[in-house]
Amino acid sequence: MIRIIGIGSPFGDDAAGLEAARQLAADPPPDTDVLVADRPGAGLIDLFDGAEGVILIDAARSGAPPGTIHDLDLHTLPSHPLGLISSHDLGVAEAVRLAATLGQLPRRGRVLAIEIAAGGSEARVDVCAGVRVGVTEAVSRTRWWCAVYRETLRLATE
Amino acid sequence: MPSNKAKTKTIHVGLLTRVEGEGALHLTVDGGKLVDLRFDIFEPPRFFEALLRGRHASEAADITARICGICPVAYQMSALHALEALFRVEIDPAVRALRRLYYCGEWIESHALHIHMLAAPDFLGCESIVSLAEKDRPAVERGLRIKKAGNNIIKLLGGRSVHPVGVCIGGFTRAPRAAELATLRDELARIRADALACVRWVAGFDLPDRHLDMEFVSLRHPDEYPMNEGRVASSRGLDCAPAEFDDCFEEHQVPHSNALHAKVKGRGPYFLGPLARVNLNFDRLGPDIASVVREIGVSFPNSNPYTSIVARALEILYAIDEALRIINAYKPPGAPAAPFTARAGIGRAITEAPRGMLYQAYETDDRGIIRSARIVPPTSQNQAQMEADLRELAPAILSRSQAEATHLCETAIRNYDPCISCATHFLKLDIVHR
Repeated sequence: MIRIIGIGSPFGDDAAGLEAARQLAADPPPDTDVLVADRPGAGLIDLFDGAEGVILIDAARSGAPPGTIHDLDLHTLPSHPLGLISSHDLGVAEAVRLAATLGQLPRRGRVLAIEIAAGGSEARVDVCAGVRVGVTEAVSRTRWWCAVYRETLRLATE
Repeated sequence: MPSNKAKTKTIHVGLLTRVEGEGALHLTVDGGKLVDLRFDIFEPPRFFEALLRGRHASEAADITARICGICPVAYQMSALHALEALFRVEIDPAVRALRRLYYCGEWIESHALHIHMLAAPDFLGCESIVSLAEKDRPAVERGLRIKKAGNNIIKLLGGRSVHPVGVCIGGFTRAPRAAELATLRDELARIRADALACVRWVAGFDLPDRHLDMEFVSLRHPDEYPMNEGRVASSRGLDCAPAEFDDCFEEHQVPHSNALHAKVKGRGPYFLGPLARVNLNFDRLGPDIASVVREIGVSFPNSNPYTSIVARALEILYAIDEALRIINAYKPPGAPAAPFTARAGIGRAITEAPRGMLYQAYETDDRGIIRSARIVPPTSQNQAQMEADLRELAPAILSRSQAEATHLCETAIRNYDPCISCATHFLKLDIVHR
């Protein structure tokens, strides 16, 4: 089972990961389940349970143009990559590191971080046009990674 | 920069780690004497009190739940109790019990988060929960199990564990069936052993033996350990109703913080939170907890802020027992929420957030439209006490390296489990041109 987890908060550009997950949930790739997680903190570790592969989609701010996709390996995630946004609790990077230390990280995984605009956009309900381009790209890359993981898992079981 | 390098030491912790929200500490010691200390809260103001103005009272619980991702239940409960006091709503005893269960869930998850992820690394020489997990994996796994059990209570009663939405004036939007509550029972019964192990674990830490002259303040209830109800009590004899908050306490702005400072009128700073609650309500914890306290050899009341972590662990144990008691006695209410009729006036309430007393007051018109709202979070009230604590600590850190001094100051601040993002208020700034 490959699990896709969209992470974010409901308003503005920080909802980019949630929006990508919603689009994927409407037409999910084969053998996947799709979850949305509103700032899960350490609870992210529980969401890995039972998954052979995982794809996290989250918002990030690194100074790159809004909509840029950072496609990162879950297992080599630096401690504070690209300013993945989290207000409280553990951030995504810390939760992933903790899961790895506790032996609870799926064997395969990607983090697709969608660059959002600096300065915040909390006043808006939905994501801005530039970030929407990134959401579309993240959806497309997620489908591609799901296909790669499916094939890897198929070969591993043969 | 220090004016005299031999005598002056300036410690500036630019960004406090492992606290909720964004704050910094600036402390200058000159010739052994503290000349400047500022616990800066620069988390931006969040305008919740203004956001509530013009909204209907029935929206207050959903709006205030957004103040904090760790303690949303506290914000909902204080808001609802204030509005229910104003609208004179009679609460069904079964609903009252469910709300207490809901609060147990929050204490369990918030305290487990603080103990394992934020505070324990301080006392075990670890940089973070990740390095703690490398050193003591079972302890971290245990902490995550406890936290998850608390979150599951909130999820069942509030619809989701982060920013829950299931409560309303008069009760809940939906009352759980007894069978649903029973699903929590097994998990809670299982993690009771974890919680007991957690108490023993933190009591075994090498906690500094440092006692402060402090006034402890918490709610006190005639029959039970305080969560949603009670009068305000203190270790120096304070006794008032929640509605008399402004008669007993005063808030004031300081230029270096976006959170208001508070003090007991005519006295000074005060200490809120688990240590204050245990100190003032030890007799309400019951014989089982008293027996555990005897075993671990930490006595209450005590004035050592570092024992806050022990008080927090005891409250997890208490909250698990209390949650099990409520679940076992549960009979669904006749209706999930009592009806209410809005009226004009002011309602006030205090409940015990994980970090201490949370006061809210609402003024509404006769249609229930909120005309003004006031929210006084525990971290805001604790801030002056945190500074007093650090002022007392300052001479002892003079001979330490920058890294050691920073660690000591951070550890002292974390005793209060500050939730800085909850505590920010808009800072009114007057600029005088001459």
